[in-house]
Amino acid sequence: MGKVLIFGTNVASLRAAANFARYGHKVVLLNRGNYISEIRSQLQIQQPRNLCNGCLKLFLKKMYRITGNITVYHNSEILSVEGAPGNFKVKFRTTPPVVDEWKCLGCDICVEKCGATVKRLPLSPGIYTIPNPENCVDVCPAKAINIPEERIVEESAEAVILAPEFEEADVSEFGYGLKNVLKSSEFELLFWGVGEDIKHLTRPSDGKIPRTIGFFAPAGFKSFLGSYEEVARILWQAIKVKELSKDVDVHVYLREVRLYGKGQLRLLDIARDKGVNLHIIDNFTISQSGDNVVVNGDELELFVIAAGQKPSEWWSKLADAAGIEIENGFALTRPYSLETTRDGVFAMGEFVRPLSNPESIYDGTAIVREAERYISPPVVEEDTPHEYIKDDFNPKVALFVCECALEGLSLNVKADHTVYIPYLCLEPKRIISEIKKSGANRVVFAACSPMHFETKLEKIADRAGIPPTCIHYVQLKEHGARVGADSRKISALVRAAIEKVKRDYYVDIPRKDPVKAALVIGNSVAALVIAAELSRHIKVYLLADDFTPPEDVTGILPASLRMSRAEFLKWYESLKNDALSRVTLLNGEIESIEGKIGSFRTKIGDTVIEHGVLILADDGEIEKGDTIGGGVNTHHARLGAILAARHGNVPKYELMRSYSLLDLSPPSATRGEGDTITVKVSQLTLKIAEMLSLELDEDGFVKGVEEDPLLHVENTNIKMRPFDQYTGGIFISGFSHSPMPVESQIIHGEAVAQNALFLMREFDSPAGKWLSVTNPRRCAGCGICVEACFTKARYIDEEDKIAKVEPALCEGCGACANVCPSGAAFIISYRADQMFEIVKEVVK
Amino acid sequence: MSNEKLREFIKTAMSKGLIGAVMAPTPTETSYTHALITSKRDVDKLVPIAPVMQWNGADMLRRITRLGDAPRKTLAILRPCEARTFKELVKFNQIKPDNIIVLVYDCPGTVHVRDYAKKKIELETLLDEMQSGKISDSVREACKICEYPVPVENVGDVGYGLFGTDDPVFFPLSEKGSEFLSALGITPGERDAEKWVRIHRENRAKWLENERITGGRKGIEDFLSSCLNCHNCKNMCPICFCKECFFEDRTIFEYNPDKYYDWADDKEGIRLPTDKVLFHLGRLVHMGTSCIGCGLCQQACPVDIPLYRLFGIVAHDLQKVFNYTPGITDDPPPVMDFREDELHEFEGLREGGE
Amino acid sequence: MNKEEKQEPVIVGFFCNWCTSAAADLAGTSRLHYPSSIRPIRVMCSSTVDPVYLLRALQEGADATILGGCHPGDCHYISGNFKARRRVAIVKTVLKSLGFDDTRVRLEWISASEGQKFAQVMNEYTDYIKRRGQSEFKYIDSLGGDSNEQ
Repeated sequence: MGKVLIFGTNVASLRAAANFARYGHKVVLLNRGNYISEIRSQLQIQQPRNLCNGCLKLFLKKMYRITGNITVYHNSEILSVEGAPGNFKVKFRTTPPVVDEWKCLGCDICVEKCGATVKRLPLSPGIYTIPNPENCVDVCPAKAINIPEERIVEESAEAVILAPEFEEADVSEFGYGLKNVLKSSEFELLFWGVGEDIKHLTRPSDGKIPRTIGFFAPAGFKSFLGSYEEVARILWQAIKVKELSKDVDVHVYLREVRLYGKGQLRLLDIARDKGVNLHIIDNFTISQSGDNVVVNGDELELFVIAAGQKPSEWWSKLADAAGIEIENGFALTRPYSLETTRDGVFAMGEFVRPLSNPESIYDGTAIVREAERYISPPVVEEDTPHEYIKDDFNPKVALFVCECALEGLSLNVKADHTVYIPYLCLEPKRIISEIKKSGANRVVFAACSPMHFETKLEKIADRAGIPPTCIHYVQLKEHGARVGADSRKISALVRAAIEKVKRDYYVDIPRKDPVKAALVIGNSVAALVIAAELSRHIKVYLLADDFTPPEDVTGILPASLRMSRAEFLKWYESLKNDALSRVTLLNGEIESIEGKIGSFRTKIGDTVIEHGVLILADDGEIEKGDTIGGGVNTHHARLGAILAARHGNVPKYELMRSYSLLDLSPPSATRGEGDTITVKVSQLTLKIAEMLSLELDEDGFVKGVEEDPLLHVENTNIKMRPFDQYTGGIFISGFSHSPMPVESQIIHGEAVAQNALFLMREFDSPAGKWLSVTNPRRCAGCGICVEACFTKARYIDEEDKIAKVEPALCEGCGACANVCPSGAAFIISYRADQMFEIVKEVVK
Repeated sequence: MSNEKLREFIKTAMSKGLIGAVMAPTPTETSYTHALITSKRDVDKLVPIAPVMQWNGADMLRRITRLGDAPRKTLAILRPCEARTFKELVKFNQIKPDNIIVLVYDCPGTVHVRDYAKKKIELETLLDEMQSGKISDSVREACKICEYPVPVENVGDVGYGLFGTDDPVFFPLSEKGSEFLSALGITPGERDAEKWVRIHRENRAKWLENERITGGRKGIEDFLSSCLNCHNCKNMCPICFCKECFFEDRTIFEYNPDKYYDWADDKEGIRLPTDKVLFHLGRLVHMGTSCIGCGLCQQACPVDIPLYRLFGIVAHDLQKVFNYTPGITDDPPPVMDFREDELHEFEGLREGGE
Repeated sequence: MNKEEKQEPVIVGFFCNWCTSAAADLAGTSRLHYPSSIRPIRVMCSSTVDPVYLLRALQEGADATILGGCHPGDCHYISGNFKARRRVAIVKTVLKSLGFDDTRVRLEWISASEGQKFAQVMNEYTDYIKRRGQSEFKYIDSLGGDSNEQ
């Protein structure tokens, strides 16, 4: 088992921590704040509107609980990193938080007895401040209260990963500080917690709803570093304002339309369709006029600026402590790597360059691959299978009521065995013995938020032999006394749970044991990276013919950009030789691809191979032109900008000419239209996409789940979850995915490889007990459920002519059950008869 | 005449090997049923255009092809409503259309199956009335207010025009139909049926206005007061293609004794059997968006509840919401689809409901 | 159940696990009070709710039902809320078409951070339903109720 130390809590580092833990490594996570996400990351600054504190940590918290591999230190600061890869000694300052957010039960005893104050946050008990914690330590039943004494700690680690958080750039030169000028993050917070309603859109000076609003992203002005989400975000905000009220006059001012993501240019069209006025400007002026501001001659009642990123000043101190180099304020990495100039010390995410949120996620996944050579092999503890109590016909219900959650209300319910416990979650042994003593085969927990304790309590019941499908959880606390509810309401809720659970039965939720082999299709750099990485662990088939060295669209990071063609070719040869030394190289036409995640069967010529994952990462042709930009893939602009930077021969740009660190010295192009630099997708990519019914974007690239153009802008929680199972075992990279520079192909390729490795172990259905199933006797094979299934878990079986489910893909949303008119599709833990029982009881 | 010409058409197509089977109505003692024939010698047993519609022909095609393509090239002779049902059921994966050629004709309407058994109003009477430009008083309510009483482009393959022409004409409705006609050496003909459609739609507009069931509980209870809860409307509905109806699931709708007594306490007495109205409403919310308007629910009702007024008008409202005309529109049915930017009027609380 | 209790309306809420249930959570931890009439049922996604469940809740005696999901574009299951919106549109249209009070079925987008909004919506909706009086839907196929509501 390896051990890494991660510093920082942004999207990249949270994901990295979860990924290392999940893969079977120990993680020491150093958090700068008093609780995780107190220090805002790029995502929190850009998209605070719908982003909840709890969602941000959901995946991490899950891995923390399931694996037990994560240790967190709060209020920490690295003092020194001694030693060498495989054996670093990291010394840091840390102060425990007064209340440990992951131990806290939210019982509020400290509020009552010690005068604690609470900042309430979603999906968490809240953040508590206690005036004299010394006097309160013994009050807390969960022992979550610490005395905040600073101490110096030394932890050993085999690799060190640095990923400190985003810092918003100063935008005072663009008018921030004038009356009724907000940063985009401040604008979004107008709606936080209260909902999207025009009545919350008020300006600071007089609380009135502005009739004219301007949005502005300074990217492109004075080498202003964009992070490449803010333009998308302000376009999105402008669209949202128009949706709230057509009467508001909305203006957007941009110098360069910098969007990250496939098809994101659609945002421009949507904005125009909704009546947003777009101004592409080369000069920017702003002045105050009474309560309003005048921007480039337009009088606006409210003005919103999206600040991009600036490298933080304290980063150089961090760099000194860690013994790494800084360039332009960002951590300097080696060519084509996240490794810094010091062996075994890595930097990623916002610390390395301004980047988009998906790129942060790639970093946080690729890092597991990058660190591998320094750390010990992963160790995963297998669950020991045990016998469940199976009695479908004689339900005997044990009801466990948490008195902490009850808060003095009384319950008027009847169960076969009822137990009241002061703090349910603190007494696993008692629960197990009560279940065993009572002979119960169904369990109802009436406690607090399921987000905190459902998994834990289910695990406890599991140890007593109760299968997950025979457990139901009632949220008593937050639906009861705390919101002023009466005993009648909570009794109805608990009775509903008892009636529901009586109708539960044992279901063996299938696990998937995948074929431990991968098929990589294509000859892009990404394909070689993936093949090289995967072939260290599993059997890899590589279907590719010629390997001509690619164009040197090297990358944006200084070390890559400076690479000479000769160095590049040398690097490419060594990658190719490394990959080819371990893979089985295949040649020929793909005749058919059958099967699903974990068990594909592909026929190539006369050979049939079996593999658990399929990776499509082909090369494409770069069509050179004289203009940066092109297509709807904004990635084209980056590719063009890199070519321009390397060869200095592109005189024009359409909407954007530079990208990320290239903004420090953008190519000297002038605005104009011409033949754009585009990537033409290969025939092979198109062929495979058609065989697998994969959707293509307008430029012909294969759409990836994580980069659906608009979802990527809107959906914040999607960025918090793992993508591996989500992809259906099919991963897209290289020029099959998007016009990626070589550097991006490597990081993306490593991320894909790591995601594929997660699928190479036996795994559960992501739906768990919410798994969808079909009653074959009833299913008429109409396919409504197939259309409703967003993961493509449902399909019509060609032989039986009915809808079936691939459990490895099902996420348990239940959309299929809802649409099925005959009730043939259903969720095993929420059948219609159970739902009817619940409805019957709750109305009482 | 019109049937004779159709039989000749079938025979030619069979002789030329263009089709190997035909599905069309055949007479019985007091009615007509659909029949499947596979030989030229049986063609004369068919009456392709019948004065009654006992079943929906598309429902028969569903039975034949649910589990796989028709093994032989089959000509199906359908009324416009049946053809629309055909198109709708293809979307629901219930009919495999590949080996089927659909012929659709100008429909004079059909007589209620029970009326026909009593006094045989023959096709000729209906056709004569049609030619005189009048919707027959003898046809079913659903026929009188039919929105599409004539063939529609891309619904079926071959059109057979009867209205306003002494000599029936064939014309293509799809590319497949066009190829079929040219293989038969038939030159497409023309006829103007605009008036036939118009008078139906005028009727329909009035019907929608006058026959609406209103008044919430009282309205629906009164309307369904003689309902036997026999579920025959569902059995005859071609769109209710489920193998087993949700509302016949005993794990859901069979209750412990206590429940009856609790309900009786709570609702101040209950009518038995329970869940009668829920069944009809449930059918509407499940499949109302795809109601074709064949009116067979009403024909099937043993106690003559004019059920199509319930299904047809509510379905009309539903289909307007989704801008969807079942059997006509090429889009997937509303229950299989969604848009990101739509239906905002159903979000939140819009006061002023009934 | 005594007569007095019956005066309070009952509103069945189907709340998605990821957004609206989390908002209910936050309302709870923040101690924002709203009427006991709200009876929450946690479902994985707003799209889990078959429109028949909404009708059934009304039939069982709920005076109203509210379906809570994530904001458009923010669904944990990508598009579940869009599918739910179609279902709600269907139920509401059917009810309205027949002259029932379609405001007794409500769809609301409430995100995890919107605890305040959650409490506010529940308060307002309960008030609204109180004003409208008892639902006649409950008495369908029964001998009770006043068929001349309002």
